[in-house]
Amino acid sequence: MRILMFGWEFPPHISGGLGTACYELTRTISRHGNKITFVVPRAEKPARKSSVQLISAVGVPLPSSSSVEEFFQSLNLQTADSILRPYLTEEEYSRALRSTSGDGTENDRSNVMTTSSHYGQNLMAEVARYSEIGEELAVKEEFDIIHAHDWMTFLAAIRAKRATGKPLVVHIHAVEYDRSGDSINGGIFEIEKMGMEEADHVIAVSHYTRNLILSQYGISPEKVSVVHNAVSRHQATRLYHVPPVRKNKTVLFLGRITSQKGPDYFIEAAARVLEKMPDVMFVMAGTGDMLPRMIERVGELRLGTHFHFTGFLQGHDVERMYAMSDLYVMPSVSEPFGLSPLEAMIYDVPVILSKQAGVNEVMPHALTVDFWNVDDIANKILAVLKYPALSRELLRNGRKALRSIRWEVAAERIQLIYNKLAV
Amino acid sequence: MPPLCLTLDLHQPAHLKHYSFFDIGNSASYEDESKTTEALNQLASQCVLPSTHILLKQLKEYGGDFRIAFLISGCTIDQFERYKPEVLDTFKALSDTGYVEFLASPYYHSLAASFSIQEFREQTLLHHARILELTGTAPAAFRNTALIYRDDLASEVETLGYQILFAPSSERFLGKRSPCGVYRPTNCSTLKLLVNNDPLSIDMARRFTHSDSPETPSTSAGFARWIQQASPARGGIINLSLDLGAFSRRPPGDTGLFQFLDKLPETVLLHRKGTFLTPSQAVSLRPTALLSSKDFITGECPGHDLSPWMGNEMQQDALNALYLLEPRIKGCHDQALLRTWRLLQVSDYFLSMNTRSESLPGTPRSPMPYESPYDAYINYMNILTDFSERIPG
Repeated sequence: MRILMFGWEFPPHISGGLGTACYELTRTISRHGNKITFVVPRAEKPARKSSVQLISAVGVPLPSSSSVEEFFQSLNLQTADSILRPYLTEEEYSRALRSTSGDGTENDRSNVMTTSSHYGQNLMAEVARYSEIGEELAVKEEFDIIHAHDWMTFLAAIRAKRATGKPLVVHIHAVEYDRSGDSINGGIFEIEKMGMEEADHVIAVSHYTRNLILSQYGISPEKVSVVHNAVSRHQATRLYHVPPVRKNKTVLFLGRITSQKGPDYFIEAAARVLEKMPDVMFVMAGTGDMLPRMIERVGELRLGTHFHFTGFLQGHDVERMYAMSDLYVMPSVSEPFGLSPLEAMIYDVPVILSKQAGVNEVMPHALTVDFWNVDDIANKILAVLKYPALSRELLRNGRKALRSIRWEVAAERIQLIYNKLAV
Repeated sequence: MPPLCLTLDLHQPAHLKHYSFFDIGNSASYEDESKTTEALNQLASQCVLPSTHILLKQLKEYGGDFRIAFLISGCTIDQFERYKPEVLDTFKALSDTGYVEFLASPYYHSLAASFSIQEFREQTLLHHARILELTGTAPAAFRNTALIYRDDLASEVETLGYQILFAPSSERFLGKRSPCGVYRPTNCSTLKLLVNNDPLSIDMARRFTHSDSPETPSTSAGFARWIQQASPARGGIINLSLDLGAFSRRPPGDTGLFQFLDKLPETVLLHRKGTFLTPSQAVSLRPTALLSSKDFITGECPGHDLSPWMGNEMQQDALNALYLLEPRIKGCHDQALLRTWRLLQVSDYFLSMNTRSESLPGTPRSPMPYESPYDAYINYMNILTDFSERIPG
């Protein structure tokens, strides 16, 4: 089958789990004999085929060069000039726009943008512009199915569907509710709703997300399937040797430092843990709009000597960070899936997860907490650090469970959906 | 049809409090009394009182032709005494009929047998005394928690003066022998072994606790026919046990158990020409073979081992930490601490830390109020940490 796929990031230019998911899905779906044209809204041209080095969310080089070649031959990567990135809010977008069109003094960590005067003036205009490119491509390309990942691609995908009459699958990795909580952007919500309504089938990354789709968007249940994300074994091929004797236990938060991820609960729990166990080190890795406030809060609580902010990590640094940690905590307020706990477990790091995370549906061997219950988070952190049998048992069972959480399984399920629609 | 020996089990663990790491050093109260009372009231009103009412009626009507045995853990008797004393009167009334036998067992439904023979002996003596006090009759038959058996335990049970010991129907132990036979532990001279018919017991429990069971009408007529089909052999004794606690978790309108108990004597005695025995009546039967197991065996799981209670690191860690306290506890001669230590031995707590996802037929007794086995372990270890800090020395 020929698939026209709309995404917004693809390795190596990724800013979160979505890029990894798109990479892994295209990799495994193409093995079923499918040809995929993957459209990314990115100003930068993809690196030449032969020199592309793919890296995962945890930064490990992916398959050997020959299989990368082979993979790229089956994958037609198209780009549309745009500065869209998956986690942009309107405000961040304006800032990014300033940094790309301004005098060049403002620096953004993203390296995916080039100076251009063609960008739309706001995020919605940008989405609309991307959709035009989507339609153009749709008319040019030959394909059987349209598959779109998350809202920013939906207008493009809808126009492609209308222009060609081909069946549309929309894949929901997150909904506006996950990103913005109570202060949702009505425009984004409408685009999500329209995308799901126009779609012939909707894929949700978890039952948690599926429930939101049914209850918040009123989509009819029979066309919404759950295909869980997975984690690749090859994401942990490199072994990091951590100095054998470390004085202090290390507890890790790794992710965007935004309210959705609950970094504030992590800090409050850390303060409680340190009351009982003063020799623990807490690491907050990542960046985001709440970072300044978090640094401030650590100061207020006088936790500075026990807290380390690494800033944005990628590649080997992420792996090293996992390898150095004794525990990973993900106190997300709303998490459609959440790949990083599975990655942590690959590095033999036990995890504490928010109950509001879809990944719980595939990983029963994690400790779970209500994100707002700071005392319970602290209780469980202390338990992991004080009772070593707990870590060992979590990891022993977790490793077994990880074996069945494979992208190949996700691809098979998606193939079945394609088959039904293509008839 | 061989004589039928039916034992009704009654055990209800005290519910532990939600106990956080931050409670360590601040609170020495570990039991959630309101949850314990709630479960106990449910057990009494939905199960124990109605069934004992029926049993009393039938025991009187059939004289000595209908007989039954009870195994009630010591900690459950204590709970009834504290929260629902009228239940103890019905046990007394059952015993007064002369047709009900009460078995001895480790007081706290514990796994002491596999950690400390000394503690096993002390808990057995405690339970023995409690049953004697409650019924006026000293128990003559013994059944260990989860039917745990090993040769050295059999010697201990014989030394303690019991005539009958129940063993699990593990194939590792029985080989091709019938579970209806009467046996002797290899290293004993007077003690007789009766084998609990685990498959039939589990099957029977299923008929009552799963209404979607293919062979439900769980009527006593169906039961008698089924027993006869399952054990066509002549001679010996069919030993069945039924966990009464499971019935308190049935929907309130479900009267299957009561109807069953009501019709049981009539069906077995009149229609099937069967008979009832209690365990110590089997003393007159001759043992037909010597049995031996050098390893612990149990009846309640497919592997017939202790893995449901101590198959993972958390369970082993918790149990080891608990039993390591024995010398300190017994050295400090503090009755309150000793009792708390024993309450923490209730085997259900370790069962709730089981991480194996496949369900083990017959094993789970009462579902614990934890979201995961990991939560059960954390809660237990927080309590045990606090408790161990309170032991002097």
